[in-house]
Amino acid sequence: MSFLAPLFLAGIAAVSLPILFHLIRRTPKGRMNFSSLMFLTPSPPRVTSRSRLEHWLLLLLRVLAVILLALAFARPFLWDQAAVEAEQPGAARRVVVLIDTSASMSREDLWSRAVILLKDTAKDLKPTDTLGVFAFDRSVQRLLTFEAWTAAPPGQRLALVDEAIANLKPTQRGTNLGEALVAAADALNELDATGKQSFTGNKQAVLISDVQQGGDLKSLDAYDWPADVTLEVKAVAARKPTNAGVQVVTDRDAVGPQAQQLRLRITNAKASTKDRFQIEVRPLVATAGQAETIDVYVPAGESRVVRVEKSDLFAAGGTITLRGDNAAFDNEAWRIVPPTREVTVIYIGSDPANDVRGLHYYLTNVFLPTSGRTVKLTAVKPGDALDAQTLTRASLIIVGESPSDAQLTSLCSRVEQGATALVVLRENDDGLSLASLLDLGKVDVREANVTDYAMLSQVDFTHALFAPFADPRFSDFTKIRFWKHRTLEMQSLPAELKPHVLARFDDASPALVETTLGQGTCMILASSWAPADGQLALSSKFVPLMNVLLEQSERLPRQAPRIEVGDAVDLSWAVKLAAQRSQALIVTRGTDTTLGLGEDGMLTATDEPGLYTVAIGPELMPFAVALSPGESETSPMTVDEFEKRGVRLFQTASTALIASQADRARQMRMAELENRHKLWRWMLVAALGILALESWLAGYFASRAGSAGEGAGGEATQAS
Amino acid sequence: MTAAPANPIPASPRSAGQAFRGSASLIDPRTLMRIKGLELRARAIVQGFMSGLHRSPYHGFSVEFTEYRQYTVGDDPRYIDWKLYARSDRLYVKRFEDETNLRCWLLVDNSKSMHFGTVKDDARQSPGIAMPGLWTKADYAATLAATFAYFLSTQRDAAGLVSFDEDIREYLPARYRPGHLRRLMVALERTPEGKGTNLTEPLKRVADLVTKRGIHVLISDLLAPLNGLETHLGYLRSRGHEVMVFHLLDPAELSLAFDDAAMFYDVESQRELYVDPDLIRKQYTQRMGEHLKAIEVICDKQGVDYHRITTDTPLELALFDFLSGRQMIKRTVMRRQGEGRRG
Repeated sequence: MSFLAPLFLAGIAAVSLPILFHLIRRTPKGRMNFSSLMFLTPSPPRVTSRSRLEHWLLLLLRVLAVILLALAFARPFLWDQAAVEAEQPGAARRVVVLIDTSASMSREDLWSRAVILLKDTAKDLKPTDTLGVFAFDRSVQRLLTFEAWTAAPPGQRLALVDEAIANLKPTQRGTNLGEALVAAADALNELDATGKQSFTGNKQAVLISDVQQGGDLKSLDAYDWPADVTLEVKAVAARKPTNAGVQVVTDRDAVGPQAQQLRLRITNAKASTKDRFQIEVRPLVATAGQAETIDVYVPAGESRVVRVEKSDLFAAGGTITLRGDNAAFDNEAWRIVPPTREVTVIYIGSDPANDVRGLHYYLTNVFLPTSGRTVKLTAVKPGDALDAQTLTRASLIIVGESPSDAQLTSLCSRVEQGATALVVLRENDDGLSLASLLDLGKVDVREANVTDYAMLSQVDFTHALFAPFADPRFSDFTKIRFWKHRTLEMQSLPAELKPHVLARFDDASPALVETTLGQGTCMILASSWAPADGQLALSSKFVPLMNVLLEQSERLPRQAPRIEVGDAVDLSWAVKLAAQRSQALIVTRGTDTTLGLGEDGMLTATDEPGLYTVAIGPELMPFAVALSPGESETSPMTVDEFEKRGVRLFQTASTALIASQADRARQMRMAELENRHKLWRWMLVAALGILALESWLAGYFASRAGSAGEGAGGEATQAS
Repeated sequence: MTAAPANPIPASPRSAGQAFRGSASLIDPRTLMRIKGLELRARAIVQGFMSGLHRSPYHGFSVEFTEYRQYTVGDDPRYIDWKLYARSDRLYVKRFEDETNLRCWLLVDNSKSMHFGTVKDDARQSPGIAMPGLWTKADYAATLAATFAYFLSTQRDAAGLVSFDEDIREYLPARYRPGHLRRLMVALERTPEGKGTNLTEPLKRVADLVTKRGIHVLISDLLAPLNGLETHLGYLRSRGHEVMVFHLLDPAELSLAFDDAAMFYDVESQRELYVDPDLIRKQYTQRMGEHLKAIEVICDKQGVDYHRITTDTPLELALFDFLSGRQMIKRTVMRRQGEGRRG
């Protein structure tokens, strides 16, 4: 039995009081009435000279009550053996070692030092401890599981660790430190099959890393770090801390000369001791004498953006090399300017391009060129022949007037191949051409009865066309007023066309309907952007809407502006293109290494930064895979960064602190046990019971003594 | 009960009745207290006293002639001395000491402390007594007061009664009337047990109430702080009253004649104190002695006749003290008057 408040046991000393009281013999025999106490002073009680105690039973009960009270106040409890073992300082630990394999670990001898640290950590473990080894860069990889460690005999466990990291070396990927820590904490707290925590002892994560500032800790922000997991950071620091990195600044929306500009961002790590670097820029197609060298001054911890003169030399792309720092792993960058593609849009309509009342005029202004593409708008009058080549290139065909039957036929076949047709219903008769385009007998189109104006409602923001407007700031389409519109009977569109209403007018008739046609899409607009029909062309939503439509019609995968090592690159378009052209598709890294694609056309083997080339027949399409910019920020972060995010750090420095924490934990454990047992209540009840018994006994003795004492008193009176 | 050893308490200063004390005719208080009726008891004392008086070297007092004064118109013709007129052919009016001029107020302390007693009376069980079979100071005081009243009534003097504890509880004006003695006896018998002792307040009230000069006989145990006692005694004296103090004490109070340690209970303050008499007896008698000494000094200073009586003393001795005190007062008064005339 232990006590939560053992100091109260000193109260047992109070048992001397009942014993003393029992020893005092000259207790006042009775009360003596006296006229005045004016001249009397109290006398000290006399202790009997005889050692014989009277009323043994009463004394025993009183002493027992005092002892029980003292024990109850001392809050006794019984140790739970299992709980004690769990709290022993030497109890089993579960350790997850996170070893950093990001690009920054390839500096100097960081990796070999990290491996030594890992092995040391494994050696320090007791046979009862469990170890898991995780490697991480931008993703986490489990190299050694707890189960494998536990299953192996203690003598072979170190070999297990060696085996797990035998083929491990730093990659060229970025660092997602936050995710790695979350994975480690989750692994330490993972639940077993019964839904309970599989391990309840000391849990510790050991981070072996250069803890660079570029390590992404964002995942920790939204993670509630478990209270029972501590993190020990074993940092490996570079001896030469100077590191600068170079990245190409890309601006996809730049048009014209701006798009030709080559701008480079040079970052210098905080711990750097140098601030002067050189940048050498060479054109992609290396030709002697064309390289350009730029001197850059970047103070430690800052970044600079430099503009390369004579950018036209590198218009197609270039290789950028930084010189002057200690670590070479992030000193190369590539710039690839993708060739500007020409997108063809066919407009079928008879109105001239300068007629503000028609549709054509607005189309000439709506498709603005970007760095990636230019738009060629071809207007074809109904009845005129459609140029087959133009038609093949066209991805978007806007039908502003009813086309001729010949046009309809070629249009229909093009759409079925994958193009997008936007049919603008300006008159009731347009329903006929729509019907023939969709190969239907009849599509009911009639002029709607608009009293004042109609507005758009029930816009489907989940559709790709309206998705850019989904933000509440842009989602108000009620400002666009339509004076006139046509009513399209949805019943006349069969279900196999998968008609989908993207927007309706406020009278619930469909405003924009999407249907499929073969591999292509047919969009039906039940009004138009001509001023006679409404204010759509005047709306700020018109230009983005039409450009999104054009982008949709191109069916190009959305590519990240910058591809980093480890990113999966979607090359399905190239696969399709190669299939269309019946040409071989070869993807290479650098000049020789051929890479395979996944079944879905994804390139996942972007393990190194550098130039990658997609070759379809003779056509070469290069793209660059860059190092994560975070890797250049090699200055070590402070442990505060972890603490700020709620990570409990393992304190190795202060053994006193550990002791105090252990003490506190032990205290809490004791309090919990005591609270569970609540022995003090029983002791209090027992003490009260004993006191009641004592009172009864004392009363009984007193009454007996009183009856006996009356006779004695009488005798005393006689004697006096 | 053992008698106290060498008593440091001073002997009563007025031991004029020493010769009288030697008289064999005294009634033993134990015998006296067996008489149930207060009046009977008083009569027994007085008659016993009277019977022994003829052997006393002192004479009693009565209505006495003082002087002649020439008759003036308006004087009561009943007081004309016709014999003198016959002899001298002049009208003189006789002046007497007015017998009803003697007004005696018996100030009887009836506080709780007076209801303490250790002197044993085997024959009676008095309800007012602290322990059954013992007579208390209150019993003794009542008997004493009754004795004085009875004696005064035999002399046709007016006796009044003031019974007090913290305040005045009973007040009978000094009168000589048929039935007054009876009323007085009844009042003395029925007076219930009072509360604490406060000497100053009743004395002050009595001084205010009684305008005519007279004798005030204070019968009390004086077991109270003496603050103001001197002032108020002096106040009474300054109003022309004669004051006699009969300080009643139980013998046990003087010597703390108890054996066993006990919780001593103060009947007035209701305080309890654990007292071992053997340990503190010396200290007690010393403090008691100081108290008695202080009272004596006060009385002496104020010209107050002080008699200390223990409850085992025969009452005739007290009566003798009363009479001798009165005699002395009378002589003092006469001497003063004579001095006044000569001056």
